[in-house]
Amino acid sequence: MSQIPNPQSPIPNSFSRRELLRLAAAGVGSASLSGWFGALAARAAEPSNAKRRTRSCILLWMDGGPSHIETFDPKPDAPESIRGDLAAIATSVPGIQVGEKFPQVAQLMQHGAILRGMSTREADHGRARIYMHTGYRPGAGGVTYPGLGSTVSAELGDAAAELPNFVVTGSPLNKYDFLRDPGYRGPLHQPVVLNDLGRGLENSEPAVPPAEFDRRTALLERVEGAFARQYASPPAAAHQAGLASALKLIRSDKRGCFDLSQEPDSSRRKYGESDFGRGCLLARRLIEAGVAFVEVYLSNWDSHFRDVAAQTRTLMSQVDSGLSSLVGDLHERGLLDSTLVIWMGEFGRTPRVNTTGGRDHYAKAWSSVLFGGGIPGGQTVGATDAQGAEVIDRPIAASDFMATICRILGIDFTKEIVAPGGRPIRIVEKDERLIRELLG
Amino acid sequence: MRPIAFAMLWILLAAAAATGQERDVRRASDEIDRLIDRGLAEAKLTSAPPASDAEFLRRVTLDITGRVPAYEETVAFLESSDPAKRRLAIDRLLDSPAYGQHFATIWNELITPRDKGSTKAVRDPFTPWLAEQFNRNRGWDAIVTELLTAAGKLRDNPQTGFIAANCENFEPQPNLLADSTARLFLGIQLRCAECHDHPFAPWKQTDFWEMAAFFSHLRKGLTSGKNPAGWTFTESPPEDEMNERFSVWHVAPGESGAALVVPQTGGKLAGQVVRARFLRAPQHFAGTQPPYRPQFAEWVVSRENPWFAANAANRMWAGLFGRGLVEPLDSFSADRAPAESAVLEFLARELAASGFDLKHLIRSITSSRAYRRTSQALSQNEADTDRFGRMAVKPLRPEVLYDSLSVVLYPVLPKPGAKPSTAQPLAALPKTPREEFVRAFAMRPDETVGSQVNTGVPQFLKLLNGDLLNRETPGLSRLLKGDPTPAEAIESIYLAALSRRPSAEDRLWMLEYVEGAGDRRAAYQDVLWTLLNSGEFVLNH
Repeated sequence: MSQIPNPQSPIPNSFSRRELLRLAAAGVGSASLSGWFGALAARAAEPSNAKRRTRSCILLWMDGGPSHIETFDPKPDAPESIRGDLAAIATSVPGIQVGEKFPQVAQLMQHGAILRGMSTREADHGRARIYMHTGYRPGAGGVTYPGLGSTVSAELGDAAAELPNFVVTGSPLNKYDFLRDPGYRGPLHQPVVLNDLGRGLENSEPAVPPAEFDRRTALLERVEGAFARQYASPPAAAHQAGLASALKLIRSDKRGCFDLSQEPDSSRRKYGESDFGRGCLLARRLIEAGVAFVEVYLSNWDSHFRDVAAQTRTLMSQVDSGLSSLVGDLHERGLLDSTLVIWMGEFGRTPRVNTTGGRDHYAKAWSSVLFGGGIPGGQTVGATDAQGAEVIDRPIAASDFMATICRILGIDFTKEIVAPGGRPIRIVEKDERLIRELLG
Repeated sequence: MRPIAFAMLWILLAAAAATGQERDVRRASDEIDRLIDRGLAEAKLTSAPPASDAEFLRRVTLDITGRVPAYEETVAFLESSDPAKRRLAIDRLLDSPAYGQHFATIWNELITPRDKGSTKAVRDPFTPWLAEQFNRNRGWDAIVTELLTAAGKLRDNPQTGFIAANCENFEPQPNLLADSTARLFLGIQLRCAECHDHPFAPWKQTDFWEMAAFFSHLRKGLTSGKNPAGWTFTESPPEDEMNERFSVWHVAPGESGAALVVPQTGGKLAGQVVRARFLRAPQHFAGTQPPYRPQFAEWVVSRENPWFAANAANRMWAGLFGRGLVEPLDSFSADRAPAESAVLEFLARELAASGFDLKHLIRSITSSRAYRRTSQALSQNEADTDRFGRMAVKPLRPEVLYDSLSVVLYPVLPKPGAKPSTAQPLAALPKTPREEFVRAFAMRPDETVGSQVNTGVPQFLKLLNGDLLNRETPGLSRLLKGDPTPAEAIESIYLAALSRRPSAEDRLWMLEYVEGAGDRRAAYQDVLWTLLNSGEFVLNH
């Protein structure tokens, strides 16, 4: 019977949700009535290093939705009402142009691919943010879907690692609960969030001197062990497993990778004196130390008005330093082929500059950019028309995008995960079309 | 009549009433045990031994009032030799205002979920109203009727919180209201049938939209602003159509009764007109003039409705036992519920017969032997996953963890001579507002037990190394007054933190620790830190 909840095999339709839950409650498989605990306990019991991760991912999230025309899909030949007042510049790849604010990134285009045919249907920030993080429309079917970070953590992360598998930094993070919500993947796959890069990983430093910390944690582990034995149950096992991971992190030598003061000044200057630049530098340090997924959040791209649009020029410069240094460093250190760097927001902006000098939400046609991860670089995929208004070649829907990212990272996106409530859910929604150009 | 005689008479009458209540509770709890024991015998399972006094008190206090017992309550309970002390404890807890507050937390999470945008504005007026309904012990039928039929401004009519929580773009949504009503009050998952027929249960798309049609005329009146506290909900047609927007997409044009047009997202029914019908009734609803909700509510809470009482009983059971008698909690179907569980069938009947008296339901369940079993793991009941021969170990809600930390670390002591009471408000934890803590520690709600304390790395780091458990607290200071011996101090810390006395093994470990430490005060702090970080504190066992 053990094949039933195996996510690799489709759930036979003859089983009802309730029957599935009964089986799960009887210890068959991974779903559990008390939520994540069964899965957690099972996970805790897995032998360490069961599989070595081969790929990592960094998501640079441009919250608010950057204008595609001013960044990676410039329209130099369009009238100014569409083109805007930024020029296009050449890149290291003949025939590919980008916005003038990206001179350093332009020199690395041989490692990257610009996806110019992004075409999604959500133009509301809240919904689109979740859509483009999860690949599922928010609330569809009453399920909370995990974001890409939780998926990567679950599929590629090392359960026995000293460091967390999923880290988020940038700002403002407190506003967005969805970022911390691992959905049906459960608490092992929620991110560790760094709100303040200057302070490093919050609460990772013991509050008492090392000798006392060792003594009191030894006492705690003893007490915890006794309780977990006497009251053996999925929640007690989950608690014990969570405690063990936290203590492992506190005791780990690798914790230093969160400390940016260990970097030479020259490298900090190169990435840029901004939270985003520091976030990119942290991302590189974490990937080097074996973290599977890092998200760096950069807000304020919501340029409805002239003044906000003007301020996004600063963001573009921050991206230029941060992204180019990140890709350059990863390449230099031989990590670029195994690390996929994604630059994207939740949608693009209207092709025509509005009467207040800004651009409004636009999900019909926009761009995202990928670097590394072993993809064939130096290309654009898809195209928009002369106004940047319609995708005229190679439209990419959210599920196409997600499926392709998964494939690049080596994740089987057709796999079904049994969510609490006994519902089998595919990692990426059905009817995806892979972007073959990126798969080499 | 002289005052003393009057008082005596009153006491006698009260005693007689109490005995009647006691009898009713005993009858109900005996029946629960008869049915549970029958199930265990059928499955050839052995039940676990009874829980100790300490295990019982901690469990029942957490379950009814959402916090651990105060040190004084624990000591008084453990020392009492009154054979009725468990019953008296249940009565005391149900009489405490903390009971209503705790159940308001439980139902708030279901009715006004945190991930909806306007939660705080809705909850501010709604939470105290809900707590008051529970504390006044209003019948569940009356409470649900109020929620379903509420009208007016949220600020003045907090019961409109249910409607406000089912709005989108500032308008009440019939589909969301139907989904919430079916799920929360009838134990039925109809949402799957919003876009297609239900894949597992026999619910049809028409069932969903026919229920939604009862809400077709509900709209937000002429009010402005994004703050839901100022919204007015009404079912009456606009008085001045020119000025008052009649924007409801769902009213079917040309239909005089409760009917709506299924929106484009509605699968194969998209664009069709659907008329209201009570779930699985032979005829459509005949009403032709709004308001339609009063008659709908009457049907929902009626004793003839097989799902209403069963759902309330099943959800209560799930909260107290960590799993429902029928699972998932929203899986009732037309032909199966609640008859598939004899216990649930009985509880539903009992609840309806008591006038939907929730305190009676809680008394009956918590007085049963089934509730009073230990949650310790025993080799003979490993196979028992759904027969209730062993109490479950349950996760705490983040709100409950916060309040419990407050009880232990910042106790609000009763005035000298006064009885310990859970009536007192709890102290806030320093530099840690409750709402902020709850957000940081909440994990996505589990279908059965609601939101639970997140046992992920960031949460552990906060408890292990954060300020909260690493500072001097009045909770510890008062236990160390009067220069106790190490053994006495350790016992007090155990009673305060874990509501029990230390076992022989605990004593040994802790004494060894304290006596081996240079700074005794710091060592006691370590002991408390250890206990509060342990699974035993963070779980309800």
